[in-house]
Amino acid sequence: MAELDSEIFFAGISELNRMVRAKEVSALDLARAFGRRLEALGPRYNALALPLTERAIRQAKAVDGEIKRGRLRGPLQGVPYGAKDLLSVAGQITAWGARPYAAQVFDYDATVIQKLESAGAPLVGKLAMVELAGGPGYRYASASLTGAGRNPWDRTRWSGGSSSGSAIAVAAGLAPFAIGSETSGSILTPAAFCGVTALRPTYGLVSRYGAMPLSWTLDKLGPFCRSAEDCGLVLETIAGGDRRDPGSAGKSFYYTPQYAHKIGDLRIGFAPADFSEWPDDAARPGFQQALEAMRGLGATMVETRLPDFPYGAILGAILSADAASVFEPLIASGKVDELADQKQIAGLKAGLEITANVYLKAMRVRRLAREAIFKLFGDVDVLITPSRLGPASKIDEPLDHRPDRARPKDAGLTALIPAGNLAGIPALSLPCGFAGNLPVALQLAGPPFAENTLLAVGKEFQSRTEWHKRRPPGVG
Amino acid sequence: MKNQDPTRSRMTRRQLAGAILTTAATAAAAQAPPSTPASAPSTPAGEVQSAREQNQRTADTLAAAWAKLQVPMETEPAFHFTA
Repeated sequence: MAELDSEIFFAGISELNRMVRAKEVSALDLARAFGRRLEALGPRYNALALPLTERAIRQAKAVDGEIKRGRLRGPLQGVPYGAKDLLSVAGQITAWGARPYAAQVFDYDATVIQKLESAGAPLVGKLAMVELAGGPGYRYASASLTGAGRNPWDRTRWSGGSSSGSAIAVAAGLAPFAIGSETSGSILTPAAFCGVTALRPTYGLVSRYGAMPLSWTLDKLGPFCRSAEDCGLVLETIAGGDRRDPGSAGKSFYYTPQYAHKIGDLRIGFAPADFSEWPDDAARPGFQQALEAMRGLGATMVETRLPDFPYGAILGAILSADAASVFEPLIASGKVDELADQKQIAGLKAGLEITANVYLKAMRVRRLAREAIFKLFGDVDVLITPSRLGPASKIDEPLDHRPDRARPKDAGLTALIPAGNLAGIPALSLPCGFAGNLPVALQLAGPPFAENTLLAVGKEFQSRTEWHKRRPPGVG
Repeated sequence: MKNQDPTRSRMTRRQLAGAILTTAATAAAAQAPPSTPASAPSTPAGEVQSAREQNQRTADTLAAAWAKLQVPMETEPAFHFTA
């Protein structure tokens, strides 16, 4: 095996693919190097659920053979990746981060795994996650079969969840990209806390066949990467209609930055209070500088706010009822008590008692909320707000404990995570600064299927800033 | 399935504007961070009771929104179903 420069662990997808095609490095070398690095460093952050280095090596050998024969498959050919452990890989353990499923094995690949295999991307490992993707809610970061996700920037801090391992792996250079999932915040939160770029696609754009269900009308799969551009490349590969996913939109995605709207023609909506009043004290300067950088892109900045709806309650009712229904056999068997987090166990049990009346109220009010959000996009093309209002929490801190402090009167766009998930709209998380030694991030959201617009803004922002290139200490 | 949302055609602009504008108080309440528990419930039964109480608060919030929004009878749930 060739000795690889450690810089390669932080290279972008296009660069890695170029090197493989130019035979400067083989796909086999990359699969071995990333696989071994993931095995060696992944446990340090509780990021690894299942190493698949040998499988990746077999895939990589086939890729090298194809390249030798002149068969080029696209920008992910030869580029290794990791997948959240809620995606089935035939013949391998898929534990969903949860002790009751620690020995679970499916005999088929999830659609995204199939698509990435067809693209020539070797899978180096299954990545850790919060048990059952967080279910209806959990109290501690330790709610996982593999332990609390440790943040590469400071291992005494949480990585965020539920796609913990996906964010950690990209941040620490254990994989060039990773696949995660979001029902409400499970992509955006760990991406923000770990300082990586990630995309939550429009509901239905990426097939969820072979992924653990949590809430049928909320679940999405998306990429964690080093840049907005890389997110576009991965999304193009994993998007597409799939009859095996009842929620599939039947649409493909083509990453076409060359045809994107000019930034100067866009209207970007923001709420001043989101940047000046809501953030934690340590994070506020970073967010304000990021807002100024966003202004510098030349778009028209428009003050706005979300339509007033009880987004948290709507989402809570739907998610709790869905999750309890999905896991009713687990609850009935009593094995639910094997989960790590008492709050999650209780939430699943109590979720079975949510009445049809409450559920239908939530789903009907949701429709009005969605219409109101779509109407908002008649006035703006993109919404921006902090992905999270502060940096990663301490790893042993209860997640339902919030410091008491005066709340700003203007809610602004601070409910964009639940609102955006209820509406099924896409969102991009971009690293935008630091609070002390911990990263913070901006969230960009747009109307359904506006991924190219979000990626164009993200790419331009990242061409003018260096936050996405920063590396955690001690990772090479 | 496209454009099968009944509210798109049946809900008047005035109704929609009313729906958007009349729930400020409800939204502010719902989006407040979870109240800080004095301490986590110490028993599994206490945890379940706490979860039930949370579900009741959610139901109450939805009921308040429902009343203020005066949700039109024809507003269908946001399910996605294709025959």
